[in-house]
Parts: sequence; C-alpha cells; structure tokens
Amino acid sequence: MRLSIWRRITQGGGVLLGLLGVTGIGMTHILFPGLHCYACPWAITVCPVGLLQNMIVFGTFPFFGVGAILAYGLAAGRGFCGWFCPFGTLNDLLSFRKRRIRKAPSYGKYVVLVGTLVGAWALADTAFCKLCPAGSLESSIPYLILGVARVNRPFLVHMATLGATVVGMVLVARFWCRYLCPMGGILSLFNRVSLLHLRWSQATCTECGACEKACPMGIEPHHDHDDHNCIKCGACVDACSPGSLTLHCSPRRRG
Amino acid sequence: MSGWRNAAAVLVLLGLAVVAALPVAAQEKILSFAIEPAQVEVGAGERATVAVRIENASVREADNVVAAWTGPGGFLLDPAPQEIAVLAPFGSADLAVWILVPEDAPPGSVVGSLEFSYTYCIGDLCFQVFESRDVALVVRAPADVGLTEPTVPPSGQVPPSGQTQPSGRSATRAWIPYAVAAFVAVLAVVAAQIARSLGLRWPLYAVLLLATGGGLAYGVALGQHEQAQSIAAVLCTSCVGIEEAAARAPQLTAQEMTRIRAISEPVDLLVFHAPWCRSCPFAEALVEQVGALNARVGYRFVDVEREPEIARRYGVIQSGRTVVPAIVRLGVDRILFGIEDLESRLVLLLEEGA
Repeated sequence: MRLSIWRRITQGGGVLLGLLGVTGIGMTHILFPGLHCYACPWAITVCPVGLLQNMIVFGTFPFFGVGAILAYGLAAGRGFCGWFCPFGTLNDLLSFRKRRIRKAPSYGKYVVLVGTLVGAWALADTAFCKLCPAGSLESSIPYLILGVARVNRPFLVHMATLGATVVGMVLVARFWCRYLCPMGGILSLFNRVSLLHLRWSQATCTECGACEKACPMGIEPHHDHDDHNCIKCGACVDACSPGSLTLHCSPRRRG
Repeated sequence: MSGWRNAAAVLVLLGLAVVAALPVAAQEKILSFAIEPAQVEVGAGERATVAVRIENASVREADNVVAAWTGPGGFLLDPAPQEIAVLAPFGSADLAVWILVPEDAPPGSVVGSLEFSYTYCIGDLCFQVFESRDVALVVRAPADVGLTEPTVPPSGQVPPSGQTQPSGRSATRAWIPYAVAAFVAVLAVVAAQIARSLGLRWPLYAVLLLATGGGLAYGVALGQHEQAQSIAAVLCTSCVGIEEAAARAPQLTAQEMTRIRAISEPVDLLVFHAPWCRSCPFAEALVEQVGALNARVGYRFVDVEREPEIARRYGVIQSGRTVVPAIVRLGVDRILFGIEDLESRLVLLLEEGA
C-alpha cells in the first residue's frame, strides 16, 4: 500500500485523538505531539506550546513538558507534523494548489518559537495563544457556538490570524508548518536523531528530481533527507521510481 | 552537514539556556513602596512618624507584608508596624511606621532604611521579595530649634533585628536548581559534541534518552503532570484570547449601585476562579464591591483546582472543560462566564426573580 494511504489513516487518528473528549473522557496528562489547542472543548491532551508558556509564566522549569517533547522528538521528529498533527492535516487538505517556494528561507518558525517563549516571560502571559490560528479554529469558534465566547476584539484577532493562515495555506503548500509553526520548530531540532527517518541510496538514485517535485515542504530529499523542514511524510518515497528513498522507523545506521 | 549540526546544537543550547534563565527573571517586585516624608526631623527620645503607601500593581495577591528597620544602633520600630496579611491585586494599603530615637542619640542626620518583605505565589511556586527604602532622620540638638550639620552615619552598624537577608534585592535562591540543571545540560551537550567529533553517535543518544527519562521522572516527581492537566482542564477565558484580561478595577455606575442596594432578598453567589487566571481578580473584586454595597449579597470564592467537585456540582463546565471566571447564583440556572460587561450582567443576575 502506498505510504500516502497509511498517512491519511494516522492523520485521521490524530484528529480523532484531538476530539476524543466528545466521548466524555476528561483532560488527561498527555501532551499532544503536535499543535492542538488544549482549550478546544473536546481536547483531552495538553498543548505543548501552551504548557511551555504557562510554565514560564509560573516561573517553573517545565521538566515534564521538556521530557515529553524530547520523547516525541526522539521517536519521530517532525514526523508528527506529516503523520499526526490535525493542524498539519488541515495544511495538507487546503494546499490543493501544491505550490512550493523552494528556495525561500524558512527560519520564521524559530523566530516564532523564541518569540513565544520570550513573550510569555516578558508579558507574563500566554501571548502566543491569543494569536494561534489552531486556537482560533479549535477553541474560539467552538466556544462562540457554545455561547461562552462573544464576538469581541480578541475573537476578531483570532479570526484574522486564522484567515491569514488559511490564505497562506491555499497559496503555498504547508505554509503554516513550513514558515511559522513553533511546535514544528521544536520538533525539527530532533530531525537528525529521530527513529523515524528517510534513507537515501546513492547507488540507485538517478537524480531525476521526482522527489523534489513531490515534496510538500519544498526540500530536496535526495540532497538532504534530514532537513529541518522534512516532515517525513513519504511523498518523496512514493514518487521515487528507482526506490532510492525509503522511510524507516528504527535506530539509525552510522554515517 | 556538520555546519548544520553545529547550528542545531547551538540552537538547542541557546534554547535550554533561555528557558533555564527565565524562571530567575520571572520573579518580579509586585509592590511599590512610597515613603512620606523621606526626611524627618525628630528630637532625641521621641518618635519619628513615617507614612508608607504600598500599592499592588499586579494581578497577584501579596501576602505577609512586613516592615523592619536597619540603621544605627538604638533606633527601634516602636510599636512594631502591623503586618499586612493580604494585599489584594490592584489594591493598596497605608502603613504607619514609628521610629523611636534613643535618648542619647547625638544631634545630626542619621540614615537608616525600612526593609520590607512580602511573599507572592504564582501557582504552586512562591517567592519572597525583599525591598528597602532609605529614611533620613535629623535628630535635633536638645536646645536647638534649627537643623544641625548632617553627619555621616557610622559605618559597620549591626542591624538591630534578625535581618540576615541582603536588602533591596529579591531573594533568588529558587534559581539555584535551574542553574545547576542548565549547567549539566550544557556540559552534556558539549560532551555529546566532542563524542561526535570522535565519530561516536551513541553518547548523543545516551544524553538525549537520559534527558527524556530524567525530565519526565523529575517532572512527575514534582507533580508537573498534574499541573499540566489542571492547566489544560480549566479554561481561562482571557488566557487563550476568548476575551481580554482587565487590568483595571471594576466600575459600577451610580445607577447599578442603586439597583444593587435595592435588592431585598438574600442572594448567594459562588465565584469560581483559578490561581493563574488573569481575569479572575476582576470578577472577585467586583463581587466584593457588590457584597460591600448590600449585605444581603453573600458570596464565596471557589478555587476550581482545589475544589473541582464544587465546580462539577454547579455546572461550571462546558463539555468537560471548567471555565473561569464564572459566577453562579444559587437557585438560578444560569452561569456568568468571563468578565466582559460583567458589571451589568451581574446586576441582571442579582435582580432575577425579584
């Protein structure tokens, strides 16, 4: 079976975990391995970015949060962006134009990440949450329907960031994940050590460039298969006719 | 390749250093102290009176505000100033301080300082803050009416009371574990880098796995998993941008005050809040004001983290999520969430059924 079909199944699993609260299960202690708002009425998992901000506001080192993020990072790195994160899935679904900007620098997500952490400290507030488009979609809109939220200035700010992100996603493939997502920024630090990883065989590669065309993140898998933007989605694996690129979930070989 | 790796390592290192440094910097002075007058003229054997205006400009509550005196020997606070047990968010207090000048004090100027200490908590973590303000006492000569030449206070004075803390600085002992953790992390990253330059990969994985296991285990030992759960289980309306936190005191209009005073039936309110909720102090202050206007309005503050079963019983829960701030009137099946237009919404709730 093609990887893309498996991926749709796990992405469905991510959405399911995100909304499992519908069944009446309350909040658990689990950190979500992606960007999913804990304020979502049906969330049963803790948003890592929200938790880190709160711990900074409390002035406590987030041992538990950092430990959990390290565990996710070691397991799959940005693989969660490609295979699990509901907001990543939305990026996938909206990026029907498949347009990519290959050479554009994409360090914006680190700026957002550092800005989020420093902002939480400087303002003693979860400032990023007030702008987060995932929060707009997953908590502002549901709470408006539930009657807790009203259309006020913070709500309109949320709608503006969501609108801008949606426009970006439609225009550029995986716009949010590639340029802005702080969670993607954290997980990308583990891309070179994660168990889930791409392997490339130089012997069979014909340098046809099919992987590069297929890649939603605009990287060149046959030149750098551990790039910080690689979400290990396997689009390049499906596209590679000689089979030079393969996806593995195992300890890495030396080299 | 290796350039990227080094850059990544530096990023991780920087991130760790920043996160480790944040808790230290997060401790703030939340109270301001103004002393009036800064210089007092007083005779030997008399008491100098100093008024201290203390203002709390933060959303946190300050506790156990205490004043002590550091200065030349023989000068005492007499009577000892009252301790302020609780200074509410956005609240202020006036403290009168009397400094008794010894009978044998030589004429001249003496500089001492009022040392204030107080505590405040953010969640489970509490800080003690020390601050000092200088006070100049001009001791009159027995027969002298005017000011005398100021003299330099004698050096090497011993503080009269058990003051062992350095003055004028926040007590920052809480940062030591973080500094140690950051130091260990830096050492580990450096060690892993050296190992990699020797062609070994496993030390990097050993460090990462140790950090993962250690972080999770120590976090659970500290109860941080419970903290994470409680942060996520309670929806603070101002935290995720459902409404704005009010950095102001509630303001009832004259008409609303009249309507509150006119309530003739007893009303009981429950005010649900969480310790880290930024808009909750506003709701609490408003209900306190209403209670002061009309004694028939009784109220109780409920910390949803400490008493979740009460929140459950009164339905302050929206599809599994406890929402704060929330105000419930006993016997009325309607809940006020958030703080937007809370003044007018609360008055309507109070008048319901009247």
